[in-house]
Amino acid sequence: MSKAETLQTIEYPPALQTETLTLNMGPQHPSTHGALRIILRLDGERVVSAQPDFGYVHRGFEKMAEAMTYPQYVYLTDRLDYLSALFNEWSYCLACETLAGLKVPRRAEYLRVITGELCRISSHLVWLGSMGMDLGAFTPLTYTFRDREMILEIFDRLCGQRMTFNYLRIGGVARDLPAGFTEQTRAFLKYFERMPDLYDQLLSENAIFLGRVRGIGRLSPETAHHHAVTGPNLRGSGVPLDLRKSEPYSVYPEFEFKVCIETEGDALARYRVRVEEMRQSARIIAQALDNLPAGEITAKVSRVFRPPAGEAYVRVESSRGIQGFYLVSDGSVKPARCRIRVPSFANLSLLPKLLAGVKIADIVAILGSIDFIVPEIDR
Amino acid sequence: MPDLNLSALQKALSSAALEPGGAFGPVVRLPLASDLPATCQQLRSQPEPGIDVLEDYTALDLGEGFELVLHLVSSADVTRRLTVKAPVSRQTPEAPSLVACYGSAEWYEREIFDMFGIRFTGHPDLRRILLPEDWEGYPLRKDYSDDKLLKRPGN
Repeated sequence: MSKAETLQTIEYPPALQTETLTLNMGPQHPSTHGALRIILRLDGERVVSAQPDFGYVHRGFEKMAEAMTYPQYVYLTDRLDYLSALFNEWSYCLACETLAGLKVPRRAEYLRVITGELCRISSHLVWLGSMGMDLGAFTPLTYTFRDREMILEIFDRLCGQRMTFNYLRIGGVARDLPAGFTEQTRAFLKYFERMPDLYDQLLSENAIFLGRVRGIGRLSPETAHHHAVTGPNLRGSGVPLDLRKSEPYSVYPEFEFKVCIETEGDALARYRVRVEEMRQSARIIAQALDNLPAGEITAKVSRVFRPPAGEAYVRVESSRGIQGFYLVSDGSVKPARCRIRVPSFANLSLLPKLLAGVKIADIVAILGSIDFIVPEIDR
Repeated sequence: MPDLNLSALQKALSSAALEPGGAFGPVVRLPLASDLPATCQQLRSQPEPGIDVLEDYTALDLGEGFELVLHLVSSADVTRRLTVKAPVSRQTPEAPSLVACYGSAEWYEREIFDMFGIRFTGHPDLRRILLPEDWEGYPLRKDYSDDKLLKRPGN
């Protein structure tokens, strides 16, 4: 099997023969957040090797795209990373707009940024709560889900959906802000201001939590690049790669925010990056609400969307890393090929390396800190 | 966006055609898939920020054959990027594995094998990754069909 297996074999004196134990973690395990199975080979408490096995919720997204017209596919992308669904829609619409050479109106770009950053906060809230719960701290979950509910209500008012929004359209967004949206979002931002500090008190000042994440699952920048890891996992290892800053798309250059970096590269660093990102996202939303321009919410798009032959590979910074769509058009109403680059797939490919040699109890801490999402991996 | 030094790149990649201004950086078109490992090593050791991250790796079914598509970026500067394309024949769908060069290639190649049936020689663990082990056929090939595929009305 893998290289790790030979590395971690322990020599026992002849009288004390033991053998490795193969243990299936999942597919129905609370800490795998979806149907992911990890085949563990254990030597006592230590992991000799770990092989992730997935595909349990494979739905053939890339094949389905070839049978659907471009606009028909938008709602399906919500089902990739359902916790931050808007980024999937965003990168798909951006890819279509790049193919067709469409320019999105400024108001629509602002609406995309506002909803996108709301999505990032809500996704990080789910991660924070469930990571705490994986490590035995139940309280954070009750707080983060309470606060996430407020974001879901904002989305409910905006597009009638709480998670699978179907809000973006090729060339813009589906509808303008409903009455009361701005006030509700502002009220949420005001309320949310002190929340990251509260979560911090609950977790990062908690000796048990710190003991379980500090120095665990160390990831060097070299290994991260080798596995094409992106997002908070990469920034936790000290690499300041955030597409919103390094290769700005949409109207991100107009906002002031910080790229959150930690240099330790352990589970605690990844935790800190995400908590700080929530603060930064709130900053972006506040600025976007203040400067929201008036105008059209969608570009002029012909009723039959038929981009010229060509290809586009477009990425956005989702809450888990770089999420991209590679679309190949043959000039017809359906894509010839629709490839989805998902951050979790690359991030999870680290797992055999990160898990080799750790203790069983640390697996949960490492899985939680990577923050992958299975439907996105399986597609 | 700082541009890649195209002439230095062309010199390093003597056998490949370099087309500036593709969808994702310049496109390096290799005549043979067997040139892939050497090309990737060269790109990695480019003097200016080496292009060393395999961000995405996939294939296209062009009918007469397949095409491997690599989207590469530089870890030092994300705006330096390249697309590499290499043909694979339909009769003998084989290409050399890039696992020695990029860790991310291991799973990407398994997925391409799973969906297109392209075999990567030298891959340490080439098996299906998303579909069940006993699945027949390669779904993302254009000539794929099975009795579970539904015809959409009007198609």
